[in-house]
Amino acid sequence: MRRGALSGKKTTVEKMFGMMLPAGTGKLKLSTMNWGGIGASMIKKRMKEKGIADLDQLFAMAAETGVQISICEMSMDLMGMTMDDMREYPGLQQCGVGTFMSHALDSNVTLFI
Amino acid sequence: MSDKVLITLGMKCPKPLFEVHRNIKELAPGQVLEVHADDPAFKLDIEAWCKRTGNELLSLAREEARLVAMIRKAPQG
Repeated sequence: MRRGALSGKKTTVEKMFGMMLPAGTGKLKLSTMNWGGIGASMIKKRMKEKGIADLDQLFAMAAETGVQISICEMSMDLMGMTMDDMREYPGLQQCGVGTFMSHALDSNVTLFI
Repeated sequence: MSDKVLITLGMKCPKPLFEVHRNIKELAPGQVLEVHADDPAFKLDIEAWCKRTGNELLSLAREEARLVAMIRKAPQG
């Protein structure tokens, strides 16, 4: 995961994005109430106690159910990211608005995140 | 009577539905899956899922703290 985060080919700003962005699901912070990591660990503990799937499990379930993940090429370029920065996921692909719309219109359910 | 029993006690949304999806795939059309769940969202989820996928919800009964659903797999798929 995030193999290319500090890759030598990146500009300084692109490397800064690499340092600032989370290095995988386990490194995510809460947007509010993170409290230096205490909030995040509290949420994870509660999720575990209540039998709620964590992000890695959700990715595995999505992959098994055939969920297609497409990444906006423009946003990747803005942050200086390449496909090497992305986690492993079957059939992971880049897209522009045209490919996204064409896939979305043919899909049962589309989530734009 | 059911051809397979699936116990999802303690699992929360979306795990029970994911397990239903996974288990029904392995059944032959017309076979019946019996699902035991205690997730509060399960009642609405299984009704909506069956309606959407064409699998038939034969019955949905409360047995103490759990819901028991009987689902007949659709003719195709």
